[in-house]
Amino acid sequence: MFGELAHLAVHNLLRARARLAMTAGGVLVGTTAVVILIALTIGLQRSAEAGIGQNATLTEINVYPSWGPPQEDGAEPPQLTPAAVRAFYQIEGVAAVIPMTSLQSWGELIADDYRGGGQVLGVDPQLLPYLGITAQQGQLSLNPGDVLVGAQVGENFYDPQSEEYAPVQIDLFSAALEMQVYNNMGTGTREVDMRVAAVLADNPNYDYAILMPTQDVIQLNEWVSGQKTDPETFRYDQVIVRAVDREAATDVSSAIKELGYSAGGLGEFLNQLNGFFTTMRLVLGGVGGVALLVAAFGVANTMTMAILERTREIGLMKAVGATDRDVLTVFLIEAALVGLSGGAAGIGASLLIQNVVNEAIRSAPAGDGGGGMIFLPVDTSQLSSGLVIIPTELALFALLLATAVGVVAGLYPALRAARMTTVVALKTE
Amino acid sequence: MANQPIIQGRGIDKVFYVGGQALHVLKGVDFEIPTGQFVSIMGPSGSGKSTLLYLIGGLDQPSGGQITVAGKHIDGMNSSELAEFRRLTVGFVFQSFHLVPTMTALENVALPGIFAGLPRDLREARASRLLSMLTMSSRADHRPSQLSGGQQQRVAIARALFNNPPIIMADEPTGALDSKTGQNVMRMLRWLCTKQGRTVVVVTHDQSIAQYADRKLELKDGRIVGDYLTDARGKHDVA
Repeated sequence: MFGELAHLAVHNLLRARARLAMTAGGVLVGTTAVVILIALTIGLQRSAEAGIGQNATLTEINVYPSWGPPQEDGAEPPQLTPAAVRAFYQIEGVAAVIPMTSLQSWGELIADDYRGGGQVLGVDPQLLPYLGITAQQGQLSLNPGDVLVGAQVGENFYDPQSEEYAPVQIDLFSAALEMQVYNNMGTGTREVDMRVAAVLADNPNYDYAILMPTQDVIQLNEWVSGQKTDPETFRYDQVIVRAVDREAATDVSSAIKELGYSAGGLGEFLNQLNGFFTTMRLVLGGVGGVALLVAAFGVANTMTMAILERTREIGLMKAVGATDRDVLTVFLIEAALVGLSGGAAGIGASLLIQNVVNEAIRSAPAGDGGGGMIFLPVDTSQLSSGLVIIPTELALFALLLATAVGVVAGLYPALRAARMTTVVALKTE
Repeated sequence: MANQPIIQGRGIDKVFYVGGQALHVLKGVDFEIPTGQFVSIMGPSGSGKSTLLYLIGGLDQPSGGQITVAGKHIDGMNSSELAEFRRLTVGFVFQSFHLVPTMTALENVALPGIFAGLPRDLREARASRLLSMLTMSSRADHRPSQLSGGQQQRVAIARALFNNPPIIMADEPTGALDSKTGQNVMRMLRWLCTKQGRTVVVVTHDQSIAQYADRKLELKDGRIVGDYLTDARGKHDVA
């Protein structure tokens, strides 16, 4: 039955092809506007995400003791005690908790006659796999006396004898390396020999880090302060909590904040960024939606005209046995088909625009100052997958939306047609 | 069987409201039409004859009274019940043919099949048989604008017969035709009555047309003022 009515609707649509083309053209413009504007935000978001970092850094949450004024009850803000570390591990969605200890002093690296530096961090050797680091040279393992150095550490040595500072590059993996540590009083130094187990690959979090086993750092700190470490008062300086995935990172982060700590990380930043893009998508989608709204009035107008023109025919359909619902169905299918065809054409137009725009960007001269793409607020080299990205879901959504716009716009005219009195409709001139 | 009333009206009232004024078109009409009779309803303009036809055809609802057609009380039916009643019981023929201009003769005849839910091949096979019965096969692919008035009315009659209804109702079926073509259309309706046993109700104001009927109902000012039997069966039966 529906198939028969749809067939009739198609026949009716095709009898006024020019009008169909113009009305669907309105829907085409509206759909294209919605799709392209949303696809633009998707492209920008992808490029922004690509610029932020790898996936490993996005599940990482950095936890610090809370700063700021004492709490109202005068209690100390919670500290990163071993008990706190265990508490973090209980939070749902946590894959690993990596506590870190900093050197409480300045440690200077010495290789040959050159000096360098970095942030000395003590880490449990068994937790290295969860740190999201990879080695460009050597093995990721920490035995006592071993260190892992960040990618940038060896790039920034200098000659202390020189008048000018000029970075010197040292191959730390093969160089004989020692670290000079100053004690708290500034009265003595101690040289520690270091064996570089690995030089880390690029990673923004550890580019300047010197990772040592936690025990080694604790021993150095005991020497620096001249006091034994008391397990009762021991505090970590930083704890990295790794969530099982990016979605869980948000929940984990807020759970940690509820415990009274400061928590941050790229995942957190990315969530804010995503929030921004969601807003942008809604705003731009809304702008496109206005075009679609105008098209909806076009559809409503066309359908109203069609119904006025075909009043006698509606009377006849009813006289030969069509129910009100049949008439309603025929006209709603017609309106839906106007929306659908406009939507399909709009997606075709959008795909065309997508190709043209992305091709133009790809072929534009790269680098600064070169070419007409300089106005873009993004680094075009990050746009590996294009500025305009139309995922299948977006195309399907747009098709559905255009069809729905047709149906909604056609609802009032179709109801008018369905409710026409048969005799009056038949006698209309 | 022939004497069982297929159409029965009891105290049919119809009031139209035009610009706030009540217009009493039918004032308590009583009548019966037996199965297989060819009835003409005659009367001057405004006598309510077309209104009466539309009421017994289920195209409109009476303001009062009872209408029973083919055993069904159609007063008080809702719109979808009425649609089903029209589809199964009545075939309509109109003065201005009411063909869909963008459809071929065949598609026009097959139109009622869409709302009966018939698949296309079945629709077109039946429509094609009906066109051939009315000697219109050669015009099956023509659109109404390519057909003469008489041919268009034959297409309309074929369409009225599509669902094989027991009753054919025609509102001034010859009004838009010249006299000779009109006579042909009337002979066709007569044939549907005599040879196929259908009940035919024709509204007309043309005396020469009314002579094809078995019986003549005269309406004036919303009342039946005359009810005559004629001997049309003898005069106009065609082989």
